[in-house]
Amino acid sequence: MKRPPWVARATAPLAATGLAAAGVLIAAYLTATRLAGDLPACGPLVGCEQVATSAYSDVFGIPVAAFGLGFSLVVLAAVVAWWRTGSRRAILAAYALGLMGLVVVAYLTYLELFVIHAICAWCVAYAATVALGWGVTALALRR
Amino acid sequence: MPADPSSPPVSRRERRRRERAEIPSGQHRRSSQKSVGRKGPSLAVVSLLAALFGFAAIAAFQLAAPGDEGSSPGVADLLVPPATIPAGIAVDGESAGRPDAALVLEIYGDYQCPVCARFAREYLGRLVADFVQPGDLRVVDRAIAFLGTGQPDESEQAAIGAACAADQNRYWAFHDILLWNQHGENEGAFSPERLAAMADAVGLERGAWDACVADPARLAAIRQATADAAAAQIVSTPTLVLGNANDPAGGERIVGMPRTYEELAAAIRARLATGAATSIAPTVP
Repeated sequence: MKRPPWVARATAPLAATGLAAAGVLIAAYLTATRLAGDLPACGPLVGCEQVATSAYSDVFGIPVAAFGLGFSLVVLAAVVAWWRTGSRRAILAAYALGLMGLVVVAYLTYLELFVIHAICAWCVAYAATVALGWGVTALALRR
Repeated sequence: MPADPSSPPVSRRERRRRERAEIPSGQHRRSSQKSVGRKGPSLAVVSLLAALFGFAAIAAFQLAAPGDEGSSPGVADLLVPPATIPAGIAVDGESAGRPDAALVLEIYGDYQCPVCARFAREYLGRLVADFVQPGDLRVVDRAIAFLGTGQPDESEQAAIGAACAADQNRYWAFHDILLWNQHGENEGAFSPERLAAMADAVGLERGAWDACVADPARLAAIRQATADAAAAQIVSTPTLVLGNANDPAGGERIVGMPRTYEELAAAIRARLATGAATSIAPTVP
């Protein structure tokens, strides 16, 4: 069976899967600390507590990290489907989700920088997984 | 039922996969679907829709995030903290310590800023014991207000409440109760009712305090203080300015909470010893 062009290189779906899985882990950690009433560990970096205790850390009473967790799980499902089946619909879904996520994390990063005046390393790492994951799907679609 | 009884039943999914496999790569076509373009929905349409969904999510977020009325803290759950400035230390409004102390530490903070509360809880008491009590340092609290979003603006109202407590020489008690009773930002921690309960808790004379809080000149003063600080590039809190009492303009600026108390104490000791500035790394943004 001949593979359609967007599965010709397994690197891209693998990279996207890895990024989505990293996003799931980060969001799960942030959601768990939030639900446990703890603050995320910042290590030598600072700003996490300021972001985590800000008014923007939850919306409709749900932690923002929980939205991130749900989002990353859906993206993970889409990129795994892309990886395993090479379905164009799956990569399109991952691409569309990624772009939507990119818009949202860009806004959240703006909030950190200009409204909360603190930058949280976990949030930046999460935003990077979303941005890079979207970049991978966009490049794969262009091929 | 398949038309040819000799071939096994084939699922629709399987059939589609076979169809797809027959098409040479690069010419893939979704024949079984209402397709928009050559490869299904065009990338431009998908991108546009995805971006629109993203902006819709932001709009929903903006509608919901500031405020969050559901979890407004009540007046019953006020914490009454231990005094940061113990009795016996000379207090003049927002200033604590001997008027002739060699050094002055100005503490710029927004009452809604969580790191400012941490600074007050973790470092201020130690600073007082180590430097203010012996008479080497005078601390001056400089409230500014830039984190508030609603009306009334909780950062401004908290600062006004504290300034009015200063009129009764109870500034620091009000400062402490404010910082020990933060509840997120703009979530009602410093609602008018809760501020009034704090005024009662620290034993203010309510008639005078109420009249003071309602005075528009107080609001103008805190806004002016915030604008002055911004003009001096003090835009994040806490910002500490450590200077010699006889040279108020030559202070060294420490942006954010120093990573350890010792770092701050060392900077103060060095300045006490030499009268000169040392460098201290900015930490918490």
